[in-house]
Amino acid sequence: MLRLVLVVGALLSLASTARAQGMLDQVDLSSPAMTTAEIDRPALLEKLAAVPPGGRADLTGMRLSGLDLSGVDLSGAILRNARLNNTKLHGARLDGAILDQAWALKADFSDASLKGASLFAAQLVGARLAHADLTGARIAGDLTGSDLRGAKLDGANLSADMKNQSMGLMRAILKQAKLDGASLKGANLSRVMAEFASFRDADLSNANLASAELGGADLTGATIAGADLDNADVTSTRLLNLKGEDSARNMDRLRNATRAFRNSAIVKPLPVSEVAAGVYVFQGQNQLMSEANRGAIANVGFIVGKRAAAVIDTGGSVAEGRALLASIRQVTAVPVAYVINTHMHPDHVFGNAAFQSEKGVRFVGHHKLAAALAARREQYLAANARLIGAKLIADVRIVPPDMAVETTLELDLGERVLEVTAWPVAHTDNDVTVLDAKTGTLFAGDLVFIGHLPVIDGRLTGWLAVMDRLAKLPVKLVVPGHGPPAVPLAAALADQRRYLERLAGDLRAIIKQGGDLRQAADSAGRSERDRWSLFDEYNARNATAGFAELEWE
Amino acid sequence: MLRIAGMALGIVVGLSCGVAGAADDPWPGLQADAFASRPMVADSGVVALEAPYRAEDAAIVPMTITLKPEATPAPVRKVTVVIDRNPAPISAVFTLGEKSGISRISTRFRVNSYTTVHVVAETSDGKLHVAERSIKALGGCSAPAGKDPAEAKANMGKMKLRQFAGAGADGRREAQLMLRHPNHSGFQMDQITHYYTPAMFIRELTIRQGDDLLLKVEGGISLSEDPNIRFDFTPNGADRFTVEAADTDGHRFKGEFPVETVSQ
Repeated sequence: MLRLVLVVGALLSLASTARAQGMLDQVDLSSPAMTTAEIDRPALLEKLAAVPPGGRADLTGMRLSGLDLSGVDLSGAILRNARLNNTKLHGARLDGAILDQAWALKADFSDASLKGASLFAAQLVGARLAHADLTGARIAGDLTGSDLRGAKLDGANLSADMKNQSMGLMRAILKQAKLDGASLKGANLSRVMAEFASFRDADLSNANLASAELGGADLTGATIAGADLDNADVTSTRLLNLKGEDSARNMDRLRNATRAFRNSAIVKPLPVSEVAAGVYVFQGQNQLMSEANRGAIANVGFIVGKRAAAVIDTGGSVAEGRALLASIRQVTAVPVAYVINTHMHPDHVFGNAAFQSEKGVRFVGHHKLAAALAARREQYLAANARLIGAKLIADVRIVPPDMAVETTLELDLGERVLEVTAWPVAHTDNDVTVLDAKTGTLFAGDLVFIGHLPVIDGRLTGWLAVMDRLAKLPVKLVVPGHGPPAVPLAAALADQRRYLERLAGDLRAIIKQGGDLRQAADSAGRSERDRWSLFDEYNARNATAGFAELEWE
Repeated sequence: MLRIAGMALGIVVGLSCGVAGAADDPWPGLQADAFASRPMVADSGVVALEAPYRAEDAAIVPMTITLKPEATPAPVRKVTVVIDRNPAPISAVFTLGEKSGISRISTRFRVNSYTTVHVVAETSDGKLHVAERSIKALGGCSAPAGKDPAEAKANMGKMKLRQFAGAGADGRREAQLMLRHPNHSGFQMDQITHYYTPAMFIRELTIRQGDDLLLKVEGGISLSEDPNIRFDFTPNGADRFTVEAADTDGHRFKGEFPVETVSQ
C-alpha cells in the first residue's frame, strides 16, 4: 500500500525537485504503521543484547514509533526504512547507524551521537537534533523545521547526490531548520535547500555552500572563513556581521547578491551626479589605474527607465562595479537589465563581474568586443595585477558580451529607449556609444577624452572620421569616457580634434621628410604637452601607433 | 589602454612566452649554437646598434644597424640580429649584396622581455664583429596582433617601396620596403578556442636593384607585423627594384618598383 502511494507521490512531484523528497502529503501519518511500535523498550534491549560483539543489529523496517529509547546504544544498527516517528532517542548512540529511508518525524535525537550515520532519503521533518553529534554523517533527507541548534555537523555531507536523481534532487532539506550555533566546519552543503533556515553564529568555516539555496536564511554572525559560496542564492538572506568573509571564496559569484541584507558599510556607493533626468555619472580620476584608486579612472554611469536600468561601463575593478551597483540601489529598485561596455579597455570592463548575479542581466557590446577581449585577456589580467594589486585583480572576470551590436541596437528600459551604436575602428576596433533619446545624452565612451590625453589603440584616421559623425548627432550632452561627467556636444570634441589633427599633421610631415619611427615617437604631438594630463604616459605610444598607420597612406 | 600604460612605463614584467630566468645569460649558448663559438671582436667600430632603452610598444621596437666600411678592409656580407631572450632569438639575418653599398639598416622587432640584443657582422674574410644594447620591453611576442585584425588580414601582401635621397652628397640613396603581413608569432592565443594562432611569418625577402642583389632578409617571428626595412645603398643605374617575399605558409609576394628620381 505504502509502496503504491510512494510511486504515485513520485509521479505527482516530477515537476518539483523539492517535493520529490516531500512525500508527507501522500502518506497517512495517523496510520498504525506510522504511529505504533511492534516491540517495547525492554524487548528491544534484549534484541540488541543478543547481537554478537562486532555485529550489527538488524532493525530494518521495524515499527518503533513513540518509544522512549533515550540513552540506548544503537551504534551500527541497521534501521533502514524503520519507523521512529516521535521516538525519544535523547542521548542515544547511533554512530555508524544506517537510517536510510527511515521515518523519524518529530523524533528526539537531542544530544544523541550519530557520527558517520547514514540518513539517505530519511524523513526527519520537525526532528529535534539539538547538540546532536552528526560529524561525518551522510544526510540527504528532509529536515524541514528540524532543530539542529548547537549540533555538530563537521565534515558531514548534506550535498545533492548527483547520481541519484530519478526521484528529483536528493539532498538535505533544511527549510526553516534551526542551526544556530551549529558547527558545520568543512561540511558539504552544496545544493542544499536551506531557505529560511537559521544559521546564526554557526561555524561554516571551509564549508562548501556552492549553489546552496539560502533565500531568506539568516547567517547573522556566522563564520564563513574559507567557505565556498559560488552561485549560492542569497535572495533576502541575512549576511550580517559575518566572520571570516575576507577568506570566503566566490563571494562575487553569489546569486542575487544585491538582494541580500548586508551591513551597509560593506559597499560604499560611488558618488554619482544626475547629469540629466534619470541619467547618472561617476567621474573617474585622470590617473593610471592603481590599488589606491581601485581602477576608478574612467567615467561610468547608468540610466534608469520605468522597468529596468542600464549600466554603461563598470569600472576598473569588481570593487568599483559593486560600488556602482550600490549607487544604483540608492536611486532605484528596478533590475539592471543591461550592462553595456563601450569598449574593451580594463578601466571600463573590469567591474563587469559585480553585475553577473543580477537576474536576467545581459552584457552588451560591439560585435568585435568578444574577440578583442579574448585576445587580450591574459595580458590585461597580468599587466593590471601589478597596477591594482593581487587582491583587487582576484575578483576580476573577463565577461564577454552576450548581445553583440552589429550596427545599432535599441534597448527598451520602459518608457525610455536607448540606442547603442557600433562604430568603425577609431579609439579601438570595438567602440560603441549609447544614446538616451529622452534627454539627448550620449555616453561616448573613449571616443571622447576631455583633459586626459586621448589614447590610440585603433586607428587615428578612423577616429577623426568617427568624430565628424559624432559632431552631427542630435545630442545635447556628451558623457566622455574620461573628463567631466557631461559637457555640451559643441564643447566636447574641440580639444581632442586639435590634438589628433596635430599628431597626424606632425606624423605626416615626418613621414614626408623621410623621418623614422624613433623621430616620430620623440617629436610628434609634443606641442600639445602642456594641455593634457597623462601626456608623457601616452603620447609616444600614440605617435608610434600613428606612424605605423600613416606611413601606409 | 592600461596595458599600454604598463608597457610604456615598464611596469609589467615577466609576461613570458618561454623565456629563461633572468639569472642565466643565454648569450654564451647562443654564440656557440649560432656561430660555432667563433671569436668575435667587440667595439671594433665595424658595426653599431641603435635601439631605444625602453620600447614604447613592445610589438614595434625600432632598431638601426650601422656599418662602418672604413673600419674593416674586408666588407661586411652578413648581419645577424640576436634578441637574446626572445623565444626564437635569431631574429633576422641580412645578407648584403656585393655591390649594394649598404651601410645602414633600420627595421622593427617584437621584444618579449628585458633583454640584450646582439648584432653580429660577418666580413668577407670570415671575421665576426659584435655590438650590443639592452632594451626594456615586454610582451612583444604574445601581444595581440594588430589593432585592427580584420584590416591586417585583408591587406596581406600589399607592398610599398619608398625612396629617399641619401644623407651625403655622394649619390647614395635610401629605400624603405614595407610589406603588409601579420607575421603571426605563434604565441598569440585565441582565448575563444584556446589555440595559439599558428605561426605564419615572412621567411625570406629579397630586394634587387636590376639584377644585383641589394639585400636579402631571412626573418623569424621576432620581426614586427607589417615588416618594414629601410636601408641606404649605392645606385647601380638600373631602372627598377624587384622584391620577392615568401612566408612559412607558402604565400609568395612579388613587387616591382621603378627607380625614382629623387632630388638631393
